[in-house]
Amino acid sequence: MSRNVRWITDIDKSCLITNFDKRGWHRGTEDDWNFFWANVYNFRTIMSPESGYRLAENQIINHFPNHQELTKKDLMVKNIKRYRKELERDKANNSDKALALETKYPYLDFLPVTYTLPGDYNLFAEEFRKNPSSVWIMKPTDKARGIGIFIINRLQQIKKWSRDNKMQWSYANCKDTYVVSRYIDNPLLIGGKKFDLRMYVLVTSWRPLVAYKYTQGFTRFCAVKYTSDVEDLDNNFMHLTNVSIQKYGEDYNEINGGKWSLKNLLLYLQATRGRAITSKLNDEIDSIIMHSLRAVQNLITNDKHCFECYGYDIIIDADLRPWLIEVNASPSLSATTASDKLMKVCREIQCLIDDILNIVVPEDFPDLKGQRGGVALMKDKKSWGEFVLLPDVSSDRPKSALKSNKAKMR
Amino acid sequence: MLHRPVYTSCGITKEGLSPDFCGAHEENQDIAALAREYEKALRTNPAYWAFKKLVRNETLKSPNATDVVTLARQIFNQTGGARQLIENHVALVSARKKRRGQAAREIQQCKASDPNALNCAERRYPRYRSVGPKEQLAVESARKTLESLITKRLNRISADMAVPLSRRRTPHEETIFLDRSFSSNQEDSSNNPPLVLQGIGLPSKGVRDPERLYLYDDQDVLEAMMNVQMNISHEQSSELGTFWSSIPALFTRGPSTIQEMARKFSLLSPRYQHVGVDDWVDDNPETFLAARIETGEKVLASKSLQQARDYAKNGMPPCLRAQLWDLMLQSELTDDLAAYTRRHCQSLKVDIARYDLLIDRLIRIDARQCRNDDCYFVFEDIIAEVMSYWVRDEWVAQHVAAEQKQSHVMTCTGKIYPPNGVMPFWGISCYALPLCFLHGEAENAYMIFRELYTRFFFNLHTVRLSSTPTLPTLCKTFEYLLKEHDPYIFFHLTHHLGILPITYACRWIMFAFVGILDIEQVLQLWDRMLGYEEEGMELLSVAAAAIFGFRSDMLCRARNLRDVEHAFSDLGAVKIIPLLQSYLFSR
Ligand SMILES: Nc1ncnc2c1ncn2[C@@H]1O[C@H](COP(=O)(O)OP(=O)(O)OP(=O)(O)O)[C@@H](O)[C@H]1O
Ligand SMILES: [Mg+2]
Repeated sequence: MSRNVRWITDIDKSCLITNFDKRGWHRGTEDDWNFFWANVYNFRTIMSPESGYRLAENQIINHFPNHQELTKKDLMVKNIKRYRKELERDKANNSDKALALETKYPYLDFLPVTYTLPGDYNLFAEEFRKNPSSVWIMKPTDKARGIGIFIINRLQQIKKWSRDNKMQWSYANCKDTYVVSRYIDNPLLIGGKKFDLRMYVLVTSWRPLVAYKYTQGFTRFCAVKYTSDVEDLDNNFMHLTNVSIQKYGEDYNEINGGKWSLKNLLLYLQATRGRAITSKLNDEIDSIIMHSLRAVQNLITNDKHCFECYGYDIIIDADLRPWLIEVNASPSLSATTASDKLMKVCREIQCLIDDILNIVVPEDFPDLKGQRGGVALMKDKKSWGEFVLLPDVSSDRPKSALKSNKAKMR
Repeated sequence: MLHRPVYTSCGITKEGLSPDFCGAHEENQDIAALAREYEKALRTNPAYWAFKKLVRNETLKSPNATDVVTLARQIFNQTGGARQLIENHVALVSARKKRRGQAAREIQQCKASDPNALNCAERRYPRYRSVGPKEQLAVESARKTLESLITKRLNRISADMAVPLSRRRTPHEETIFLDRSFSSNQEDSSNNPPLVLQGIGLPSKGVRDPERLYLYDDQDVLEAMMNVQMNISHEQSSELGTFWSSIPALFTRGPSTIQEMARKFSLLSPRYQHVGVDDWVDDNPETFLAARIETGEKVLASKSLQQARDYAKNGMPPCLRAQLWDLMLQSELTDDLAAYTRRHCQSLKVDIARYDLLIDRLIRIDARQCRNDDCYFVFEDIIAEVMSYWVRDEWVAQHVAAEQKQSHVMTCTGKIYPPNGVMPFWGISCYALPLCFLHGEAENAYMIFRELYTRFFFNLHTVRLSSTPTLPTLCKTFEYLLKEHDPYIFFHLTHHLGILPITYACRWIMFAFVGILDIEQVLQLWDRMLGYEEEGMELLSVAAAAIFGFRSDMLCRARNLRDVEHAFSDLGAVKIIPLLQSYLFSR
């Protein structure tokens, strides 16, 4: 990698800058840069048609335009629902592609039942009446970090809430602003506590799909013991695993930050649940990632200047079945734990970014020398670090190449 | 009625338990009587009835099988059958008896003998070194000093908090207590002393909060150990002082060279395949693991204690560890461990609700230290439960060999205090933390913990002489190894920097590396330790010495305490089995 890369970032975090410095890169300016690590909002501004900005051959940026298809809660749900219908249809038509996909990634039913509101209100109400004792979680589509989320177990609560918030939900001006999902009320508990799993997935190309899974995921625990008691439904410290929420809890501990490594989780599950069920869980998580990516594969602008690292939030239930909760476009780079540990968490994120840079930045970047420009094409396995390639069975890549990749991953 | 004669006349105990009974004809009379005695005793064990039922069912299934005796014998002897269970039980119990008997004899002999004679010494360390009565006395008095310190602190805490050592709850209080602790998760904080959390990391990291509430800690134990030296040096100036070593020479257990350790733990050699090595360096780790699991499952099915131990020496796949450890360690004769566990813990729970012990409070604070660790924090509640069973369990007091017990504090009712006979040191719950990675339920984790505690961990925090390794002998072994492999480091730290290497090693050994190494590595190390039984504890010394060797560059360059601390600050990435291998076998 050349040292002449000019970087800029609007997330002034040491875990990024250390990595740039390590490569001998220089700080650039908004008018002169090769590598931009931007937060989503700035990215949208830059890429909006109004800005008139066009990326040059030797520029790389860390988001795809219209990534919201995957990262906005309501769009993701719509796309996955549609994709599943298509897949069913293709299967019925005996499409090889669909059948191959089904064999390699058989787990498809990974989305908790979800409706967008107010659009789907009637459907939702009908479902609710069928199962009056069910519990649901309401989430704004355009917010993050647990803001605006609440859990309900009576239809009345939605009506009251929309009155209180002076929301005029009419079908005319309807813009879906909320999703309501079936609440996973039997989460797997460890030490009596609920947790969710965070996996990182790096996409460097959509067509053909080139996606890597980071093997060093982590889990986030609630600080308060879980109960399925209806009276506790409004206790966010028990139900929402977001660090941004947990941080304010009385029982939050700065030192451990409520996080566990994926490695620890797997060790625990192997011993307490057995090997077969643990590797099945692993496979099903791969399935979730692959299908959700394929659901938006043809929608996202396949800009060769772009790559993106997605943060997958997954909840595992008591039967060890993984559920996709949401996909985040801008995984938080901020460290959340105390002094000494802060160093450790920072080091972990730093390693993630290191691996990402190794995969996405071409050898001679930013010199082009007859290359195609933009993000690197697939490099060989040595430069993947802790990432593993997710084999895309149905792509147009030759079958043999695929096989050898698979063999390598074992 | 069909099954009756099977038991009373031929006697499975006679056929199965000890084949040598069946020898001489003339003894048959006595044997039949003896067998009846045994049978009577067995009736109290559910395993007996389970076996009986099994035989009856089998007999009924094949109505033409007239020879019930043969059938019963067949069932008794089948792989993983009752015979194997009994053999395991007998092996574990008699090993314990032997240890206890040995220790009692040694004490008897020492007491009986002329204080100037050395006769009892040869028996204790026949191979290597003799311990005179004077030295014996020095150890005793160091231990007594430590114990009186503990008692003093206990009484002071009791006075400061104005809480008696033990108090029976009124029925009303008992109900409230039960409501609170077993149904809801809201614990009453008024009952708990304020939580002090300042340091980062577990007590095994040497984090010392000045305000913590405790009876004694690793430093107290280390000091007691070093005091033995002083006691001796006072009288016998011939002993070399701390210039050469910080642990008195009398704690030498046997030849402690790298070669000797390599001989003892020869199966650790890289010539054999190992979980903890081949599952991540091998070209084909999946195949290796699959084969290893297959073998492991066979061992499990055989229920053979010996096979399980041999298997453990090459490491266990995580998915089989819980069952295999149970097989290796559970010493109660039971056909249904789950039912036994439930019954036993239920009775402990009743006791927990009935009595409010001061030690309970100390243990709760101790258990809460796991919050300071990003691997174990998840298990805070489980560990608190495990430790509260432990405090109550008289089984522990019965199974810690008699001579090893601390002098007991008695309550006014004349009972041992605390009921398990052990005064907890600061950080004692660390021993149980890795077990939470094996068993999701506190009860199951506890049942394995008490076995591990009475056989292994107890030895890691007492100052005394014994035929099995104990903390002082392990520290001594560490010192020998360090001086052999890295003499310069020993010299540099001790004489240039004034830092005794043993201050680190002692803590690592005492905590069996919990909180020092990564959880997976701790389990790998313990696999081997259990496989080699009590002798396996010496691997802790080897591991400590190997880590010094591993960090030798940093230690050689160390200019002050901070540099040394830094060298040991992050051992989380150490792969312990490869490290032990290169330490022991790369010559
Ligand atoms: N269907 C569900 N069942 C159970 N728990 C859920 C469900 N959906 C969300 N949660 C919990 O609520 C938390 C927040 O949900 P989600 O991640 O969808 O919202 P967010 O506010 O966008 O979070 P983020 O900060 O990750 O963007 C999750 O981490 C999870 O613990
Ligand atoms: Mg989220």
